[in-house]
Formats: sequence, structure tokens, C-alpha cells
Amino acid sequence: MSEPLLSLRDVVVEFPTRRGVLRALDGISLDVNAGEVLGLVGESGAGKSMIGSAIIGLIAPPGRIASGEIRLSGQRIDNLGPSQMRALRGKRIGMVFQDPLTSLNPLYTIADQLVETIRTHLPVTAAEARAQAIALLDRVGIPAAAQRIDDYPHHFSGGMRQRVVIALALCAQPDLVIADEPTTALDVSVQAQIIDLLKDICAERGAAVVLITHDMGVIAQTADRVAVVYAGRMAEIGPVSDVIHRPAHPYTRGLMGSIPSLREERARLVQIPGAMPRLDAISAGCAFHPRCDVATAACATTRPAMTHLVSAQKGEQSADRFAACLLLDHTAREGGEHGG
Amino acid sequence: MMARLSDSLTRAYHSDLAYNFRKSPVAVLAALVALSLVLAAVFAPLLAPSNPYDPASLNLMDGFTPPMTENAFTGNSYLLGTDNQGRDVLSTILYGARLSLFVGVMAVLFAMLLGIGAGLIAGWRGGWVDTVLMRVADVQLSFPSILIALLIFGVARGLIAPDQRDTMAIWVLIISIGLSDWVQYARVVRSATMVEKNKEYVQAARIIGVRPVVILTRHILPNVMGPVLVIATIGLALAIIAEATLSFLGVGVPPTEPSLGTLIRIGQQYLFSGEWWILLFPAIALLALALSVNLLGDWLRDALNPRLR
Amino acid sequence: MADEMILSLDRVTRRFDISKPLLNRMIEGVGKQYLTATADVSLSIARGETFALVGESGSGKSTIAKMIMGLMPPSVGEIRFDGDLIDPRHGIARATRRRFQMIFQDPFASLNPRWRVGDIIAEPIRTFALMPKTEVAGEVARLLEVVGLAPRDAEKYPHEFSGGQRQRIAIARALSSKPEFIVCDEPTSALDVSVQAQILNLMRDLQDAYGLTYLLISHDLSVVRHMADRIGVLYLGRLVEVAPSADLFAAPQHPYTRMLLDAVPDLTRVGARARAVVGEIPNPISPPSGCAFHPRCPLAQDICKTTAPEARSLGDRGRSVACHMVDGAA
Repeated sequence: MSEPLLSLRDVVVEFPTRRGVLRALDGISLDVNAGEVLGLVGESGAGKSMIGSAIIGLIAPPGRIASGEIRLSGQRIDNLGPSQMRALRGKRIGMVFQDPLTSLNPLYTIADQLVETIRTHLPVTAAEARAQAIALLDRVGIPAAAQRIDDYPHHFSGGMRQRVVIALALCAQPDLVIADEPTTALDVSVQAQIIDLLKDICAERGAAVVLITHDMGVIAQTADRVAVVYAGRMAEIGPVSDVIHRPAHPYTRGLMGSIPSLREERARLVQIPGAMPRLDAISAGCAFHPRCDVATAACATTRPAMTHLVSAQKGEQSADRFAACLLLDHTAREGGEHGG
Repeated sequence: MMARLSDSLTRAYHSDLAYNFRKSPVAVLAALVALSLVLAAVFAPLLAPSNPYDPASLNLMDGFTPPMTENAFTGNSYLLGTDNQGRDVLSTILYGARLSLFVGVMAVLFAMLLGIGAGLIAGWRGGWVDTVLMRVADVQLSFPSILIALLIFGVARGLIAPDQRDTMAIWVLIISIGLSDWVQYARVVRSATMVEKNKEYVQAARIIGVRPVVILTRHILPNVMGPVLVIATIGLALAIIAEATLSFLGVGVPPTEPSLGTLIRIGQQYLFSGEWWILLFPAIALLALALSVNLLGDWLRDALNPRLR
Repeated sequence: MADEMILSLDRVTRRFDISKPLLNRMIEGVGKQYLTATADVSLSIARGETFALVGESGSGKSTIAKMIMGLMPPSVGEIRFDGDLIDPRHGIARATRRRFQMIFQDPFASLNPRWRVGDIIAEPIRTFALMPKTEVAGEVARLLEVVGLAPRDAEKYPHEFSGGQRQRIAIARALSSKPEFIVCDEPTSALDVSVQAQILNLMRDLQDAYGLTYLLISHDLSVVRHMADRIGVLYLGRLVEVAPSADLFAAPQHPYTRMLLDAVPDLTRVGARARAVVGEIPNPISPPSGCAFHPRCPLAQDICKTTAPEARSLGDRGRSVACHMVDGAA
């Protein structure tokens, strides 16, 4: 197996507060392979955006990576200094955020921002950079790109702005794009355009994508693999169709059942009782056990590790499915019956 | 009931504001200074060695006694000395601070009442009501407030019968300072009201037909009081200084009932003839009072403003 | 439909004056400007059903909710609740007000942060003087239990609750005046999916228990499909299609509805491509001439650019579509 592009090992992110140290991320391990789309899902506050911030080294102080390592193409990036990290962002890791306005400086034209980013990271002249920028804007679907490149961000609509942000994220030809809720602020009819664009353009350029979203529908249609995050911990990771159709972790199972579907009638939605605990109130053992309908006494005391999943159908280990649950055999079987 | 109270107190102690307070030495020090000055002023009749407002207790022979020195004629000694009329400076400061605080607090309350009322109405109604109120506010803001207070004070004294002037002086002063200071309350309350009135909890009350007066007082007012309290604290310091300024200029309280400003006015006449204590001690008291209240207000503003954290 | 109609909108239009102040208009030589948030919307809702209005931003769905709640009058047309005119300019009888309620999108803004939960829930009871003061606390406790909270929660403040719990409090408050009709404006769009499921299930249970009529306003088609009996699709303030839920999802008629259904990402279509709608929503201040959807419509003809289509009935199941290109026989 070749080396993954991005690799997180037991990453712990802590926030010291006056009420004690809060663990926003607790032992996150995952790999992203070159060119693939990894979806990160979870409820608000689960830590999915925190994973993105940890990767790009933008955790808001006083938060910090307390332990674990993050490697990009084998090189440690979690302990880089601010200037090295800045060189990495944009050049090797592109970023697309929820609100396009936060990624674009309102005082500069699109051309200024694209050309500056390109020239910061690539050895080209201003004219070449401008030509590249126009070609890129054209590719992301900005009509009359050669004229509109000299407009300011506020001249563009929300959907168009997000296209510009995607162009900005990709202009230095990064290997990895972190997309944090890239379509949440957009209307449904525009959402699909942006998701398609992001997926196509990254595929063309061979860039891997970490797609952070709360929208399982977007994940289903976009991601190759998906990781489910709960209370700062990994619940489950695997190929997207497996996780959606045969969820192994009871939390994932509840989550999938709780989503109303457009195409099939569900008499009653599955509901997970309660709500995700706040960071200062995560219970011992499995973080999910107070809400879990199959929890046993052991779940309250033993914290489950990520374990390789045994496929119920074939009776063999499936290559890249992991889940953190003590009752994995039981739930995997249940999941098998569930799927269809 | 008691359980509820202690519950609220525990919660207040653990609140972010209380934590912020305990972690800010300037705020704690300012609060201590302000609190002791306020207590000293409130309990002046109990604490002061003499009553400076009682002409019968005064002995002109005691005049100009330096601090902690025996008077050449009477042999009396005073901690902070005496003024030209033989009044004990410590006592006049305590009584003067009491008067200054009373005028300041009442003026702030009056300004708050006016400003909150105008702000709520302007923010809620909008349209021409808003335009008229806020233009009046703009015009008033373009003059220094001490000038406004002087103007109002002059007009008001003209309207009052001469034999009433001394007894009414304090109230005229309060109204003058209050009227010169309502604008900032009105502005803050107006903009906060315009934000709050579009919030969904206000819509929910409107849907069930709650009357606007009730919505304004019971729903919106509690939610706009935070910034008002900040302004009121800083405003209290300003009102105390405004009162001192007016009294210094001789248009404030009558000389028989001196406030800190009056004492400073009296004191500055004797500064160059060597009787420095008559000016210095009231000035220090005024400075300490105004500064500590102002620092408290500054701290409160920063603590309540999430952006500065 | 022979059911009794509880709410009807008759050609309701709402315009907003978004002109600059008089002085600016004189200096810049510009005229008055209006935004038409809702144009000529007619619909009726039967007692006991869930009617959903779907639309993207600028579709006018929240404006319709505000007019129905009597928060603003329509510019043209009239709204009737069980026969009574709903128009704040003419005043709305207390007896009528008691019968409708609203649940809002943002449970962090819809509860007064300075009020205890018990007072928030009791406000409608007290305003309408529904029961003696001594019984209010008991009723609040009962309502809290109905929505799945504990009676002792009445003593707490809203900030002590999670988003889902707050939405339960908002529902308890809405129920406290014993309404027949509740407008739910994006009731779950601020919530996580697992909490959304709790709230949607609760809304359904309450509808069964109390015979409520819902007007559900949402941009989320999967929520709408799950909850609604009938659906109205809004585009730029115009009602483009009304149909029973099953029919709409089985065979959408208006080109906009069809594109919308194709565009929405869904769990059941792993790896499938959504077919994106071309273009973006036009500025509602200067909407396109004729049919508002024509610049994005694959079927548009010349007539669509000049003439706004009227809603036409389709079949006998109460469907109607406003499109020149949809055949009456379809």
C-alpha cells in the first residue's frame, strides 16, 4: 500500500479554560489518499471543523494540538512554525470555507488576490499568473472571466463567490483541499453546481478533498469514504456506500435513520434520544453510551478503540472499515440486516 | 424564595462577569475605592467629626487651621485642617461627597429615564418619530454638555422665585445635568431596540397580541439594559464632574451647603496665599471618586463586550 | 377537496418600499423602488392537514408566514382564517389570535433570554387570560411534559438548554393557547439531524393528539416530503406549483420543481450525480419579465418572456401549475 497523502495519528486538541482543559479532539486517526474525497460528518460541536483547523494549523488560541501527529506526504506538519505553515497553506493545502466572504478580501479585486496567491507559491511572472487566473476562473464557470477578474468580491453573487474561492483554493495546484461546509450558505439549486464543480476540478487536478459537512446527502453524492465524528472522537470510517447502507456504529445507524429521505417513505424517523454532550461533560467509557440503545455495562467504563470491521456477509475483514464500538460484532450483524 | 436567592447568588459568583472581575486588579481596586467613598458619603453624619452645615457649631476663629496643627487661637486641631470659615475640611469633604454623589446619581437616573424612554419609542416606532427625536439629539450633541447644563440652569433659575432659589438649587442642578446627558442613553437604547424588535421572541409576543407598551417594558427593556448600565456608570463619573464644574463656576449648590466643587472653588482662592489644604483634599476626593467610578465603567464595558475579549 | 378550509389566501401580494430616503432620491434623481416579496399567491389549507411551502431564498415564504400571523398586512388581496379577515390594519380579535400560533426557525432568538422558561410558556395563557392564575404553573408543567421536558425546567433560563430543547420549549409555548393552526417556519433548519428527527416526530405526535393544522415553511425538500400532505412550491414570490405530496415527488410538473428535485443531494443516491439547475436566483427587486423562471428554464419559449403564466388546475387531485409549457392533460 502506498503512503497516504495525509495522515492523522491520535491527534488530541485541547483548550485550556478556567473550568479545566477541554478536549475538542480526542485521538483522531485517519488517512486521506491522493485524489480521493474523504467526507467528515458529525453534528455541530462534534469536532469535524476542528479536524480541518488542526490540519491547516489554524486552531484558535488558546487551543493547541496536545499530542499526536499530522503528516502530509510523510512530512510532519503539526509542529511547523507559523511561517512554514503559511507557506504550506495555499501551496500544498487549499481551503474553501462556508462563507465565501471570509475567504475573499473585500478591498482587493479578484485579480489581485488570485495573482498574488499564484505568485506567492509558483515561480511565474505577473502576466503569466494573470493568464492562469483567467483560465482558472473560466474553468470554475465564471462567465466572461477576462473582464470579471477585475471586479471586487461584492460584485459577485453568493454562488459565483464560492466559485471564485474554489479557484483561489486551487490556483497554486495544491495536493489537498479542505472544504468546510462549502455549500451550507448557498441555495439548494446552487449547492449542486458547487459540489459538482469542486468534485470535478479536484479530480482533474488530482487533488484530494477533505469535505466537512453536516449534510449526509452531499457526502453520499460526493465522497469516496466517510468518517463519522462524535464528541471529538471517531465513531466510524469506511467507504461511503458501506457506511450509509450498512452503518456499523450505533450512532451512525441512528444518524442515518434520522434523516428524512426524498425518495423513500419513512413512517417515523429514528430518533437518538438526548443530544451530543458538551465537551466538559463527556462520559467515561464510550462517549455515545448514554444515548445508545444497545449499550451494556462495559460501555460505561471501557473506551472502545477503533477496530477493523468484520464483514457480516463474507466473514472477512473489509479492507478499510473501522469503527469504535465494543459491540461491534453484534452491531455489524445488525447493520448487515439493516442494509438494503 | 431563599433557595432561589442563594441559587441566583451562586450563579452570579460563577458567572463569567464575576470571574472577569476577580481577575482584573484594576476593577477590584476601583470598586474598593468607589465603595468606601460611597459608604463614607452615605454615612457622613455618623463619621464626620462635625456638621459643617450647622452654623451654630462653627467658630470663625478656627479658620485656616493647617492639617494636624493646633489652632493659634482656639488650640483645636483638625486632621485635614479647616477652611476660611473654620469648617473642618474632612467633614466638608464627607458631606460634600454626599451631595456630589446624590446630585450625580439623581442626574444619571433622570437622564436614563429620559434617554431610555426616547430611545425605546424612537427605535420601536421608527419613521418621523425616530427622525424628530434623533435630530433633537444630534443638535444637542453638537454643543458641549456643560454649556447645555449652564443654559438650562440659567433659564430654570430665571423661572424660580428668588426666595425659592436656594432650596430648589439642587433639583435645578439635577435636571440641568440630566437634560444635558440623555442623548447617549437614547442613542444606545434606540439602536438596541431596533435590533431586538426584529427578533423572533418579539414577533412571538406580537402574534398573540401583546400590547406594544408591554412588549417594550417587559421584553425589550431587560435586553437593552446591559449597555445602558455601562453608560450609566461612566455617566455617573461625568455627572459628578459636571456638578463640580457648575459648583466651581458658582452656579451650582449654595455655598452654605458645599459640594466637592464648591469646596474646590473656595480652596483655589487661598491656594496662592499658602492655605493649600483647603483645595487639595477636596480635589483628591473628587478625583478618586470620579476616577474609580470611571474605571469601573470602563471595565464593565470591556467585560460586556465580547469582541474585546 | 371537500374538507373544511381553515386558512385561505386570495391573490395575496406584498410589496416592500425599499426606496432611498426622499433627499437621496431628489439628489440622485431616482424614483421609488419596490420589492415584490409575494406576488398573487392564492392557496387554501384544510383543517388537520400539513401544508408545506418550499422555496429558496427570496421566494417570499417568510413574508407569507408573517402576513398569515397578522404581523404585516398584504398590499393586495386578503387572508382569511376560518372566515375572519387577518389584517393588522383592521385589528384582529383576541378570540381569533388565540387560535393560531407560530414556531420559529432560530430557537436561540425566539425565546426571550431574560425570561424564565415557565414565564415564556405561560405568556400566551396570561395574555389571553385562559385560566385562573393559580392553575398556570400546573399547566406549564403539563406542557413541559407534553414536549418531553421536565416540569422543573420551568425555573431555568433559555441559555441552559440545547437547541433541540429550546425548540421543544418554543413548541410548548405555541401549544399553550390551545391553537388549531400553527405556522412552522423552518422549525428544524438550525438543528442537527438527530435532533431534527426528534422535533419532527414530536410535531407529528402533537398533530395526531390535538388535531393541529400545520403550515410548514422549509427549504429542505426531504423534511417537506416527510411531513407534508400537500406542497406549494414558491419561486421569486410566485406560487409555481401546488400538489399533494406524493404526486409532487412522483411526477413534478413545473420545470423549476423538477430541477429542484433533481438538484437536491440525497442519501439514497450514493455516488449519483445531482443534475444541477443552471444559473442563480435573480434579484427580486428586478425580477425577469413574464414567467420569473424563464431565464433558467430549459423549456422556455417566447411567450414565457412576455406573459406571466396563470395557475391552471391539473387533474382532479387539487393540483395546479403555473407554466405555459405544461400540458393540461399531463
